[in-house]
Amino acid sequence: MTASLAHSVGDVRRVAFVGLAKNTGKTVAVGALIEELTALRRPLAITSIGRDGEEFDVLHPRMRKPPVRCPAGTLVATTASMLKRSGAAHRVLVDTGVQTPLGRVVVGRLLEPAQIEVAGPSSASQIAAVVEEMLELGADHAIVDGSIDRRAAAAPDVADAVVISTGAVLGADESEVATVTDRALGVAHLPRLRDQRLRRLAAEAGGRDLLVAGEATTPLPPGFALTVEPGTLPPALRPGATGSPVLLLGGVLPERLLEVLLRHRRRTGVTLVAKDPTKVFVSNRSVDWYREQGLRIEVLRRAWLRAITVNPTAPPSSRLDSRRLRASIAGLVRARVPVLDVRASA
Amino acid sequence: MPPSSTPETGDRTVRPYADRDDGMVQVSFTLPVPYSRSARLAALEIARGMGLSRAEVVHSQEVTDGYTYLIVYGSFEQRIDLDAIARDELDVEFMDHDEIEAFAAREIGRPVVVVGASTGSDTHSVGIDAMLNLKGYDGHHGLEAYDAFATHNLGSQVANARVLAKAMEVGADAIVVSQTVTQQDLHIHNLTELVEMVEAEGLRERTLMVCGGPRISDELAKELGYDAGFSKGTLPNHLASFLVRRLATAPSPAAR
Repeated sequence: MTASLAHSVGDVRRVAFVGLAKNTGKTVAVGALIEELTALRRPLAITSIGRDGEEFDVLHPRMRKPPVRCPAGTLVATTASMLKRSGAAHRVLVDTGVQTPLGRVVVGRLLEPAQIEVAGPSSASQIAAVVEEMLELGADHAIVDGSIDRRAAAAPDVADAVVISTGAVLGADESEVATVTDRALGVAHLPRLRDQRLRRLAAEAGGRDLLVAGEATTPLPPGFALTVEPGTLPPALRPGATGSPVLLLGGVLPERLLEVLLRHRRRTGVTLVAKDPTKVFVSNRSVDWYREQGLRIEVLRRAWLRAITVNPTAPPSSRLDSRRLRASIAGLVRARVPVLDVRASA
Repeated sequence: MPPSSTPETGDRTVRPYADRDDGMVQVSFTLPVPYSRSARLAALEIARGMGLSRAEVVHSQEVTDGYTYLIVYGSFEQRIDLDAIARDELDVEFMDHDEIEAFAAREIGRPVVVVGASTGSDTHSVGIDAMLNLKGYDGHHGLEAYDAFATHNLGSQVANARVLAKAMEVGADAIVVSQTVTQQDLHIHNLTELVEMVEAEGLRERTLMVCGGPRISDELAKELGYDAGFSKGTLPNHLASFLVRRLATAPSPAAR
């Protein structure tokens, strides 16, 4: 039996979709999940941290985009004008007060099946708030569609489950797509920090960056991780220092921090801890590569990846073999979740 | 507001207005056709294709051998419903320099801190300089000339991490970035990365984020996660009007 998206998502209430690039089939995957959950008669809510269901691509005006079709009863967080423009009968239930470049976001209930354009709040915390509201209004599942390569909606504060969309647009052949996907999955699957003392210290740091070397803890200056230079490294991170220091990061883990640490390679490793995978900005190399160099990245909270969808076509004309592509991605060590082509298995 | 055809009935539909709601528009273009009768006929056909009725060529001249420049008048008869396109309260009424200073002094009462840059590999600083520098653009001073703003222009080719670090250091109310968006994903990625980093630092709720550049529309700004996008034709006072109005009134995202 082919696993379905609805099956992979199970009883999870807040599902976020993240595309690894444009045209990886994220909206089609969202559409498939809506259809499957509708067949199961589950009341749904949907919003988007970007914009979805538009007719044409924002950068390629001749490229048609897939529609978002929702059944009657669906709760939608989008702008008032988009709800109106859908032409569908609906009732506005909440005015969220959230402003976006496309208008003010409201929560409406569709009174008939409709094809709609969805543009919800643009920030993670506002998305989380509006999702909470829609679940209270009676939705079983809330679907949060990501945008371009935005990942904020996948933060554990916002979503209980994440579906990642990847596809032919990321490489010339199946193995190249798998390699790029693997790099992203490396971040998505970062291990959870287990040490209870360190977890407690991180919780107490209140967003500050903290260096823990043995028994000593040193608060680092604000913006440390963002502006680090070899000269500003604290002694415990400099070459020649011993022990296995741990850097607890309150915000961004930028790749440059890893690069600076590598330039001054120590004999013993460093562990860097971010709050969750959406705070880790590493793309030039894989997290495995950094780990092999002695820089281990862990997170306080993991994102819960439930499925990967693949789009074997890349506009305008390139096409990979769906079965082979799914097999290459499923073959990745980390892909312990179903790999689906929602068009092929539909 | 442009005159609505029937204000007394509350009709909010409009079309181009030369005289008495006539829909008249003027279009000018060059055709790769010798200065001839067929150039005029081709121009009328183009006007028809654009949905213009009663089109007439009112001017034509030879540009160079084999090319003709034409001006066509025609009527655009469709009506556009202002309510259907209205983006709720996003319509920002522009103020001039003096009005902005007065508004900011009254409604905000302290300088609005702005950090601006042309980010990533983008070497173009023209856009951000036009908006922020004292000299400004087209006779309009940039934000540096305002008492209402404390401006930090970081220049071009600035890494996202540096923009963010500066914003944290000075407690920015707004981050303004300029980017020449191409069809490649590179610039897009650079713009989204900055938004995601601001999110990761937990500052998104209290930082207005604005992007600008030749191809940046409201639609693209929304997809990228910004609060507004400014494109060609933007003057510093447009940006300034947006910033002070949003900071003064919006409950979010710049809640304070």
